[in-house]
Amino acid sequence: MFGPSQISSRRLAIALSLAISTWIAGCGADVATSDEPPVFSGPALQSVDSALAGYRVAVRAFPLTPRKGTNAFEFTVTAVDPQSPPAMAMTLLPWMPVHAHGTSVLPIVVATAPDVFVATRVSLYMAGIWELRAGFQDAAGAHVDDATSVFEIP
Amino acid sequence: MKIACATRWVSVVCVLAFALRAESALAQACCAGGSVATPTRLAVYERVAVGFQTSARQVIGEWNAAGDVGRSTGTERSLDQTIAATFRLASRWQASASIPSVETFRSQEGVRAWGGGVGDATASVRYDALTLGEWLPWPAVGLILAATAPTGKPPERSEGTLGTDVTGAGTWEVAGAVHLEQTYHRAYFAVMGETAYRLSRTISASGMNVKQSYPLRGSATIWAGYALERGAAAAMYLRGFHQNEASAGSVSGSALNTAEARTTLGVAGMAPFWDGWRVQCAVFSDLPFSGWGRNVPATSGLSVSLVHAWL
Repeated sequence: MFGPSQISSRRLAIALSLAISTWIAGCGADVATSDEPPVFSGPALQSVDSALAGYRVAVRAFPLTPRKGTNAFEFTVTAVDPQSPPAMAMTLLPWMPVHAHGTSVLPIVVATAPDVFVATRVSLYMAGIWELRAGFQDAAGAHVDDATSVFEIP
Repeated sequence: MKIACATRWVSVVCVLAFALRAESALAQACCAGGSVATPTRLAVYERVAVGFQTSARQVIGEWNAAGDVGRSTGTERSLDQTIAATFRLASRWQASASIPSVETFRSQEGVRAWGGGVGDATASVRYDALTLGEWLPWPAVGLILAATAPTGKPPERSEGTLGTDVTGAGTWEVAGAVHLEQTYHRAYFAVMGETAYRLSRTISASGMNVKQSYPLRGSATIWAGYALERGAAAAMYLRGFHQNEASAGSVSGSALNTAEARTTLGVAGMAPFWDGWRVQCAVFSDLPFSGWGRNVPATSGLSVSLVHAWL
């Protein structure tokens, strides 16, 4: 035998379980997305000086306006200090400074021309302010400078 | 007489503590802190309480750096189950501990992912400097200290496509709060101010080391509650949260405002349903209006908890 309050509690628990199960069922599982080849056109979205002032870096995006989700970026690196060695390789760290975290998916960076690097699979999975922290290496693989551009993702 | 008086207010006091914990615990796991509030706060005559809380929330919009709110693209939902316990250490002291399990679902651009695990555990102590009615007309005064340990999975250890397996902030947090409560007949009013500090740390990600410091964050909450018949209670609360601007990195020199803010409105209810048992429910939502938040998603959700207390 159950009292009225116990029956109410049991009904509440059943209803809650059903609601949560339905809610979770709508979540589904991982599904792969298609990769669209990036196209970079138009003027640079941003031009930033590197930390040691050795380079000026122009950043273009695909899509043209970066969005929440997977983006691609093109970095055109121009040496402004004659002492700076050519940037032969680049690493990229997407970083959300307000939330203090990066991404679990690592970007793929390739050099498509001298001083031009394209980063694909840049997963900006949350709306908000993102930094793109680019690190440059010389021919020997030594870190020589870095540059950070800032984007707000709607 | 003191117990009779306290009985009248236990329902309101407990439901309000629960409501705040429900809302606080549901911020995004990567950037959420602990909460000084606990669903198992003890009334003056209770000795021990244990509870289980489950909550769900959904992102309903996004505030940008200018404070304008926009529609959220994609879907983000979270579930949270928390086990909590509170023990009375002395007549004015109570200690609490809670540990959540956090599950997050995200969907964007055809990618759907969800994951979760154990979140960041919190321990707290509360000192009731003044209890309700002890020194009229002064309000009850409670002082709370809390520490949150990085027991969850931090963002840099995430393996999921959309970071859905992140369950913790990855750093220690200490928080302090002052809680004032006053009654008038069956009505109950309370104010709580809270501030929290998170320890700096160096994070290794993508082959780079990022020295991350965290700005101070604080919140203020006001409650209005009403004691119903048979020990039940209902309450509303309004909470404002603010985090200072980031002071390090390139964003500090950019034109973007990096402070975080949100305003949340909630309604909560509580009913005792058996000897020593109570069920608590809350529905809450960030107020998705421009100027009422900054740099955070606006969320809404609900929470239910079951608590058993011993005298």
